[in-house]
Amino acid sequence: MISASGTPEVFRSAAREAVFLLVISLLLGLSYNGITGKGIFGPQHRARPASTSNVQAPEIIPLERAQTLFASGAVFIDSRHAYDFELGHITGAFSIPLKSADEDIAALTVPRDRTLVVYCDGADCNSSLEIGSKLSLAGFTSVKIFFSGWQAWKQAGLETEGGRK
Amino acid sequence: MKTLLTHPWLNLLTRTVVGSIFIFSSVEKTADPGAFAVLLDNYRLLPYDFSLAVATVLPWVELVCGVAVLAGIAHRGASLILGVLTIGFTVAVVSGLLRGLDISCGCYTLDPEVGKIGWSKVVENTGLILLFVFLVYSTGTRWTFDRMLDRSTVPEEHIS
Repeated sequence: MISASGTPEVFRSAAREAVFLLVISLLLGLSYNGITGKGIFGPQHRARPASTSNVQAPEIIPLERAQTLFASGAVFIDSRHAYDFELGHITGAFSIPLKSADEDIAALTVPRDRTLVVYCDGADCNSSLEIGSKLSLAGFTSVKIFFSGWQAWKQAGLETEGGRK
Repeated sequence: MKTLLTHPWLNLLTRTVVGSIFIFSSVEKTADPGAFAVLLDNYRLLPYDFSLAVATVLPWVELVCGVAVLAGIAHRGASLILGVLTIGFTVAVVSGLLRGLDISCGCYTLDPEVGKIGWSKVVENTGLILLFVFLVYSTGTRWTFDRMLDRSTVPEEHIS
């Protein structure tokens, strides 16, 4: 057991070491990144990545709008993991998971002015935003983010395919 | 309890495990702080510029402390830092889960498809925190550089 008098001494000693290690880490981190021009010293990262381009940010749309676009033949892009896509997805959707996004977008044979609707799993997931930005940067001019995504679509009982229904 | 705290093999094993974990998880992040900043930004807890500042320094804290824990140099201080950091990571993960974020953890790799945040990560981090508490109190420091240099960080008389 640790004695009552020992506990504060353990912490005082550990705290002294911690301060020493933090100073060393700070010096190493700032020196390395300063020399190599990375992190806060990298001009390419001074601004948020998406804001560095002139491309307009994709519009975020609700379920009703997604339904309308689905009916009008918009191309749906599923940005979830390929495994989730196999379990079920919006009918006709293409799978573009983050991991292979660059190759999949390059291989996407869809006219650049066609409306694309990107979705991921739920209301607050990020992959749809990231894929949406990548599609915009790739030259697609009408990219929408269906933010409430797969969960909202499924709950509304709308058309799906693949996996267990 | 006393036996566990004074056991040198248990101390060495624990230091090897947690030290290796943090060295491994820091290497990729030190090489690409920009990508790490994007992963931190996904948590939507900090402004992007602050995430970038954290991403510039944090992997180095993990690396230095990981090496310190593994080698047994100022390892109690390193364990204290890594324990506090792990508590911070856990709070961020829980906050993300409660807000329904579907994001990658950014814990061990920068690959966005590896290691999504989940409650299993919270359990894993809790285990790590317990190991750090053990290392702060453990006196089984026979196989540490501190002991080799005869620089015991806590006087033995304080441990009864």
